[in-house]
Amino acid sequence: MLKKDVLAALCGRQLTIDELVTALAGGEPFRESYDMITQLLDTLEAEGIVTKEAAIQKTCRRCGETPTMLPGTCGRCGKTCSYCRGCLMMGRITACTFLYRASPPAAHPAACTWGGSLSDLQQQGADALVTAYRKKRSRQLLWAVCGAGKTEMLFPLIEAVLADQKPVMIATPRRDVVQELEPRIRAAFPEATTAGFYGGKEPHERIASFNIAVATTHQLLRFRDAFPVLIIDEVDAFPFSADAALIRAASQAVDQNGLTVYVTATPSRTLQQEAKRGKLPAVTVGRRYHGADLPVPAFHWAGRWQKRLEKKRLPETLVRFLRKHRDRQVLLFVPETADLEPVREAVAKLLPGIRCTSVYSGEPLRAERVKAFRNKQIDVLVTTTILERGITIENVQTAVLGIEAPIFTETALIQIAGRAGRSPRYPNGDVAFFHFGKTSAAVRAVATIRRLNRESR
Amino acid sequence: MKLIVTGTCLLCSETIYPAGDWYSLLQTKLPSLCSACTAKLAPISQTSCCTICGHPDSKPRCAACQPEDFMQRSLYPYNDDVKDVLARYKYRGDAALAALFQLPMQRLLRRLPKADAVVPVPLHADRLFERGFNQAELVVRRPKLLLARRTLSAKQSKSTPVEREANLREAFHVTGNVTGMRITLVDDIYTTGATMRACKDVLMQAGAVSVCGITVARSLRKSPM
Repeated sequence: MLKKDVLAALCGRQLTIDELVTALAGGEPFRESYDMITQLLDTLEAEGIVTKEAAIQKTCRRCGETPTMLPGTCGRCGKTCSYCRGCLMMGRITACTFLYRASPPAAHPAACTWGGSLSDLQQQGADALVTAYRKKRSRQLLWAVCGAGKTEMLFPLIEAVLADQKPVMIATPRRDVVQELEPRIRAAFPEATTAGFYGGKEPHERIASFNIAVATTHQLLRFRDAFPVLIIDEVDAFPFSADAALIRAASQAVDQNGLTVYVTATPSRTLQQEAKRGKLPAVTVGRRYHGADLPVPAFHWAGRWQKRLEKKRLPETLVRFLRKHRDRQVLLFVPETADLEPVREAVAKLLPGIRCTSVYSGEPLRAERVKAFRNKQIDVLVTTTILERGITIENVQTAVLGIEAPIFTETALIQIAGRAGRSPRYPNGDVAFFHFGKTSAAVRAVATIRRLNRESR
Repeated sequence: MKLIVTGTCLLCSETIYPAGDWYSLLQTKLPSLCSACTAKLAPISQTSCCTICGHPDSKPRCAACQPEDFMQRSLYPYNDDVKDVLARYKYRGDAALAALFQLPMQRLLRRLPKADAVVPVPLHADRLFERGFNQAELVVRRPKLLLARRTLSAKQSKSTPVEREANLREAFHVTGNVTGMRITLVDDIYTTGATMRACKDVLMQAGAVSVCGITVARSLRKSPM
């Protein structure tokens, strides 16, 4: 019984003894379960089913960080010991513990039951991914503009991998995206076992078995040589793009001859250059699934908007924009949390009758307010860049106040522009950049959008 | 060559640059916390706290305290920020954070009557094995391990006050000679003080002259007095 559970948990994973104990023996005294499971693992190791490796050698074998000395003596081994602070949040690793591994699970073939059909461009994208898998490429870029229908383009690939009885992992830097993606995948593949992994799940949920896994990129640290195909969605998003440990985790989680698919609407310059030079096979889907052009942002002069804001006033151009879209919903992006409240007050003062609220990452009512906006109970939502991606609201108009702020990078601005005109019913949204001096990032963003529109025509 | 020596914040991993004044230039070590994290860990003012239980802003003594009660001092109020730091230290096992508390704890020690031995509240062997270290032992410089824990009592943080007293009465025993010694106990969190009082009882029975305590954080009363 326990043996079966331990093996199921270890499939394709690398786990510490502590993780196994807390996941498999919830209520029992730690020491007893520890001894029992250690003994079991030793037997399995002797049989060659499980392998183990010292968790810290020169560096942490899970995240690659240099270990920190443990003050005093270790309560586990009784000697001088070290531990890793890099992946502490995934459960502590000390030099006297091991990482246990077992070979990845087999999956059952499962058909995709999604009822919709792919557009020609989507089909091209999807075919390119399946070809990359069949040709055993190691990397593939799927550059699909915001609203191209990326998730649906992944379905044929997932189906192909499952048909080979192999598991698939879809990883993404953001937890919100995992929570949104998991139910969609589950609905498309009802016969497959789909599991979502992100921080804050209960210990036994962390070792759930799966055919299709949807996880945050942090969770990849728990997997080892597990997937013939690893799909990284929103690959350019923070923190994955800036964290060497996560990039390392991704390369460890995928099978040694496996395929890593980078999916994004805004590839980094490095990725773009690699693709251009032919080092990275790439497929571009430059058109939305409904076929309309991406909305091209328009620049509007905002002057010294911060000065005006102090007097509870907004730039004339912005007021005109808001009046024009009085009957539609508007997402208004500002550079900093400190700008949220003054902007909200000014909107409320200048446009009485407009329901306006604000969100930022630390807002306790963030989820509720976004929900209210979705339900059309709010007309203008003032936000920081947290809503730059992953939000789809029908017929929303977007505005950015103060694009000269460094936080509005080319990527961020393209993503923001991509919020508008996503639905086939309202394919043309209005995107306005209010500025006190255009930045090259903003100019590049507009140029990129125009180029994608032109090239996919 | 690097002209400016930078450090990394122990809590948020933010890069720390030395302040641009002569004093910081002459320091050999940079602070281990960035300014934002330092601001989060605001210590209890030791000049205005209760002289018995160390509750902040209760000088000279809070209404509930008697002069003969257990005397202790705490470094920080147990607010949400401190709770996060201690949870990471204790439950996540980030033992390096002990370095944050050592120097201030040493200063706190000097505010209490002189001690012949600084004794950490012990963990049960099984708990020590599970956690990997005794959180009370690492926050002071020269701890003397003169106490041991007999049975694995239920986790104190999940018990009611009545259960705590019952659990603890039998839990501790003295492992060394404490006759005639003045002892200061060390623990991480002071809630009702039951743990420390239980330790004091066994130490006094074993011949200690006086026992007081220092803790990293203490919980606050619900309403201000």
